[in-house]
Amino acid sequence: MFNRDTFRLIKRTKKRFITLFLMVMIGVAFMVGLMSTSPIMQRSVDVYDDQYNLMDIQIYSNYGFCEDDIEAFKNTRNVKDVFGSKFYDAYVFDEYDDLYVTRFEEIDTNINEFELVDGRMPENESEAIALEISSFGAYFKIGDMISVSDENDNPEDHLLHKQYKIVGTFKSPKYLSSTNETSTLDNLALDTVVMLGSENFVSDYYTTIYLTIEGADAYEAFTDEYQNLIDKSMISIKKTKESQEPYLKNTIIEEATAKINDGEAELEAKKVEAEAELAKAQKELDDAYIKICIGETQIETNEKTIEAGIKEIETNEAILNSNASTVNNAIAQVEKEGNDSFDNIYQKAESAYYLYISLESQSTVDKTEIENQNIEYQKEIDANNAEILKLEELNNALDEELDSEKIAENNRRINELKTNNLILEARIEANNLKLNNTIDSILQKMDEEANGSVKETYYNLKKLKEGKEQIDEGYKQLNSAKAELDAGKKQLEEAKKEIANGKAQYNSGVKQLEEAKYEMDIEIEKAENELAKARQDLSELPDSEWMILDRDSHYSSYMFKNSVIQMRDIGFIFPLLFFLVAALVCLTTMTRLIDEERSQIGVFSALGFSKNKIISKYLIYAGTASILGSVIGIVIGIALFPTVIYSVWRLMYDLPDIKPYLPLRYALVGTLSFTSLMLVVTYYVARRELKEQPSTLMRPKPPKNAKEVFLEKITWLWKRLSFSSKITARNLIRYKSRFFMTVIGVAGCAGLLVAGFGIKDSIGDIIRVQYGEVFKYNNTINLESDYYLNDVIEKLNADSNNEQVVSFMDYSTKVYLENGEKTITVHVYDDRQIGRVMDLRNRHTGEKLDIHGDGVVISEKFAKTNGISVGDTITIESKNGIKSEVLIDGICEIYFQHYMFMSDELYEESFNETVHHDKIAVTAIDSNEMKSSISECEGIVSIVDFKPMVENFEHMIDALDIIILVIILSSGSLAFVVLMNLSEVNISERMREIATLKVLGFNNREVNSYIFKEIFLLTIIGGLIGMPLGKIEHRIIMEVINMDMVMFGSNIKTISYIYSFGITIIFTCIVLLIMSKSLRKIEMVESLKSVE
Amino acid sequence: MAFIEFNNVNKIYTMGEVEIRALDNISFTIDKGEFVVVLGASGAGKTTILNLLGGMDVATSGSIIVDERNVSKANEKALCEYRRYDIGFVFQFYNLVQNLTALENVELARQISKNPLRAEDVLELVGLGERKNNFPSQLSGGEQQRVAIARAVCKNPKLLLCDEPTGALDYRTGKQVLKVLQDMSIERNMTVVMITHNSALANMGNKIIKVRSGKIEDIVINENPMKAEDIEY
Repeated sequence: MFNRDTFRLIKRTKKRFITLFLMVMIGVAFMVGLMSTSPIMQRSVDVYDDQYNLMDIQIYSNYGFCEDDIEAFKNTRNVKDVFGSKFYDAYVFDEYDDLYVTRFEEIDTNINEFELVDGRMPENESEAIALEISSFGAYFKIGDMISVSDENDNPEDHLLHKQYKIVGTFKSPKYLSSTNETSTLDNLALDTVVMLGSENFVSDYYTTIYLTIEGADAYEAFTDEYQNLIDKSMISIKKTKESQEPYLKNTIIEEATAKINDGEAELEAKKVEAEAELAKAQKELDDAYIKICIGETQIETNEKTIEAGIKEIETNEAILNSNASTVNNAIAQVEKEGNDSFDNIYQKAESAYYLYISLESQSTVDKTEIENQNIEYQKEIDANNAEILKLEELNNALDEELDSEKIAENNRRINELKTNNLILEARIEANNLKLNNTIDSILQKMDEEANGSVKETYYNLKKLKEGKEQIDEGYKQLNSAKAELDAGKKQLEEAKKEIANGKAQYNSGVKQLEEAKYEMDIEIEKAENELAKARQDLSELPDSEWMILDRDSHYSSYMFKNSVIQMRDIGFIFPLLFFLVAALVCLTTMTRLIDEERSQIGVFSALGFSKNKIISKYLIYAGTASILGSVIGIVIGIALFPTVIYSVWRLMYDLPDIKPYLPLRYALVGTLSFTSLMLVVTYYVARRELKEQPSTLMRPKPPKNAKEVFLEKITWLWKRLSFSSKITARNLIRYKSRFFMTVIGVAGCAGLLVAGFGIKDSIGDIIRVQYGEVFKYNNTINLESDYYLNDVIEKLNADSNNEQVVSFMDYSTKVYLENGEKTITVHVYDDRQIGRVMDLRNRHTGEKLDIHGDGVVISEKFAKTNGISVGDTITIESKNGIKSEVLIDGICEIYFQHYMFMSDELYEESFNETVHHDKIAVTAIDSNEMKSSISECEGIVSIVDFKPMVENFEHMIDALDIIILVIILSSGSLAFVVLMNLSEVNISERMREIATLKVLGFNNREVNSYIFKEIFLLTIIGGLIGMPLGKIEHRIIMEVINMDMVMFGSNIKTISYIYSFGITIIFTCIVLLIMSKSLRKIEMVESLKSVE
Repeated sequence: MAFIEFNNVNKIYTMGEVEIRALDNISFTIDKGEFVVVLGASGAGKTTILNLLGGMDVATSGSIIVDERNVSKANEKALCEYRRYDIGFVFQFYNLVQNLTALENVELARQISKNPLRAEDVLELVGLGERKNNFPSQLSGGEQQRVAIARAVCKNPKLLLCDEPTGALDYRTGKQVLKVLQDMSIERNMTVVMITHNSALANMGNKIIKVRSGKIEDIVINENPMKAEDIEY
């Protein structure tokens, strides 16, 4: 009977029952849905992990691993399976000459299997398959030829080929995260993974070992149970590690030591051999030295002999010379005499000639005259001779000493006279000749005279010639002696030369020997040093170190695990709101319900039903609504939330398909928490009512006292308020639970909307802002070197299609921070040019930044995650690895990846290195036109166009619309339930008042406004509170999906607030529209009824 | 022509298959300034008359003319205006807005009137000038009813309708209320229609309309109405 009454109650108060039901349904759907998302994410990935046998533990070593290590693990307890694998990280070019950090892995594996997504498996050793990265698309696509860059160190030591053809794509639980693991290349992040046949890996040792643990499949990944099992199995694995860790090192050391020993022995042998050779050479030199000494002595003796010879020759020569000069003198005398007599003869002949001539002409000359003349002449001569005689006598008489002057004068006179005589005689002679008359006689005479002198001369000459011949003979002898001596001398010289040569040879021999000795010493020392160093190196070899990494250290698993945990936090935070609102809705609804039932409760009470029995009716009422709501809520929640949220996580991870299931625990938690909440509230309300006596209960409840509100104190304002406003104000104060229910419900609704739109704002705009506003250029041209820069720039500048063309240098550097090393991309610009292609600005203040100063500008995310602020200094490296400190001058708005901007001057100043601009930023109106216009240019490595990247990302962002839709629906339903409940309660409670107003002549509009003003005001208050609430929710969500390389905007656009507020108001209006119909239905007769 | 005319008015409520004839061919007239008492037992049809007269319901047939206006033929909007400008209503259970003070309750009605009286004056008139700032919960039943009367009167209506105004009041306060109503009629020449099941009150009316089972049993013209103070019940 009583139960039937309960059923009737439900039927009668359908609206309220449905309100409770809906509230619980929404709350449970949210709670169970969000809470289950985390375990469903976890389960989906766990199934994936198990399906492809993801390793539980991965081991790295600084020495690599050998077969022996693998064997050791095979025999380790708890280890299910072991697989030694080789991988190799390298820079790889794709077909478009874009460079990717790529990991090559072995395809043949029984751990870490993979799913072939597309294409086929490699059929020969030059084919490969590439990782498919769904969110960004695979870097390497089927059909691509990829080639290992020459930048890598000796790729041939690791890989068989340099070029591989991609024939398929794969997915693997090992690579869930699109932002991949770090590679072995300078800590650069991996871009992609390529799998090759094992035959391609040519290195000796395994790079890594994968282990699976016995029984780990049974536990779900990311759970504590799983981790406990792994931790337990670590004990035996660590034992194996301890015993096996030094093995490979020792093997290497043994091998090396043997090699060193061999080397030392060899060196020793070589030393002995070399010394023997040196000794032999020394002996040869010594022998040569003795020979040289003997030669020198001989030469000395010979020299002496020759010197004696020379002296003899010199003596002989002197004698010969004196003889020769005597003979020569004599000859000269003879010759002179000869000449004189010849002259004489000549003169006579000449005179004869003239005579002849004169005779011829003077044939008529008087013979007598001549004879007289001659007598005259003879007389004169005689006189002269007498005088001469006289003078000579005088002279003789004169004292030779005393009268020398007189004598001299006399002698002069004598000579004069003699001369005269001669002249006279000559004249006589001439006359005689004239007289002789014949030439022949003269000639004959002359002949006779000449012959006489020739003969004499001849004999003299003959004698002399003979003397000369003798002398010549002497000379000849002397010369031959001299020649002999010269020959001897020459021989001696040669001998000397020889000796000198010998000596020189000897000296050089000695020197050579010394050098050889020295060289040998050096070589030996070097060899010894090398060996010593090798030995030392060997002794200093770092200890073999194994790193045993479980899935917490496996990047993809770790990241995803974090996401799962974050998701779990969200799953607990958000339903709280619904929980609170549900409690308030239940409170108001049940309060009103029991108020209405008041008299009936009184009746039952008076009839003798126990309090508990009466209360149970309402508990059943609320419980039924709760359980029904829970069941439907669970179904909706599980169907909706995990799927939608999972699809969003798929933007960030390469996840397998979702494996939805109902985590019973959370279903129970959801049902129980909401149901018990409803029951507790109901019990509390009923209990409060039943405290009164039945008699009181049967009388109408005295209306809750109205109170003056604080607003009334402000009289001037209060007076101006309309009555409905006054009523509203007083009501708001009077029914606090309704106030809070509505405000919190509406605030929650508005907040959810703000968060939803905010997510889209934060994620949706970052790429557009970065590549549309901050990076004002849309293409980057990579050059081989700055050698080509000017040509390309000139070409670009010539085309009006290119609005801005600015060159820069780009490199990646380590940043040394307290918490380790980080990597950042540095762009080095001319500080006057950068503004043409970059809009560096502070996101918070909007302040424009430049790089004119003595500091750098870094991107916000990097500064934030590493706690760097303006004025700090950080240590970075130059392109060539030189370290220097730089000052942080500004922090700029950049969302995607980490950047640092610095000026050419600062770079050169800091590192003392020249800047080589090898990249060009181009703002092109038409990128394709720009590309084709410089296709002829030399030295262009690649051109990166931002547009496809931006488009790709924006496409991804569209997926967020689903989340927004779900949020709008959820918040809408929340608002509906709350507002419907509020207005329903309001109307039912004020039925009489409304009817009275109608009777008083208020029209529909006035009645509506009288009732709805309150709801509307509450909506506005709730909506306003919802704005900051949404901001907080938004921040929580953004922190959950935080990524290292990406800064999501934390700003929510004003328009999103407006939308959120507007949608909340629209929800309210819809509710009010529905409620105004029921207002109109209220009969005026209600006002005449007695108060129940 | 009388101020109010009921001509052959029928009112039939249909509840599912069942027809209930609440008013059966009723006719009567009321002159301006008359104090009319409609007397009848529960279910006699007096409330239906009130509803029709007050513009809260329309007649099934017949005509109701109030001040030359056919109320029975009016649409909802016209009825609303009729209630608004022509009628003042006093409920059995006062029906004051709990959230408004006495003064504000009166002003609430003033707000929608064309030619209202001053609220303070009216409250003074009903003897509650001192309590105007009290909330209904702070007033006694009689006082609340007087506020209700003030609320009805301040609209300066053509017709004051009272539904068992003393029904929830004790004798003394009931008499006070009745006096106020009578004074309104006499001093302000207001037409007052009071509905009651208490025949003792009937004597204070100029005209007494007795209703039984949806029909008019009798209409009595009382030349010497009793003063409210003298009535005993």
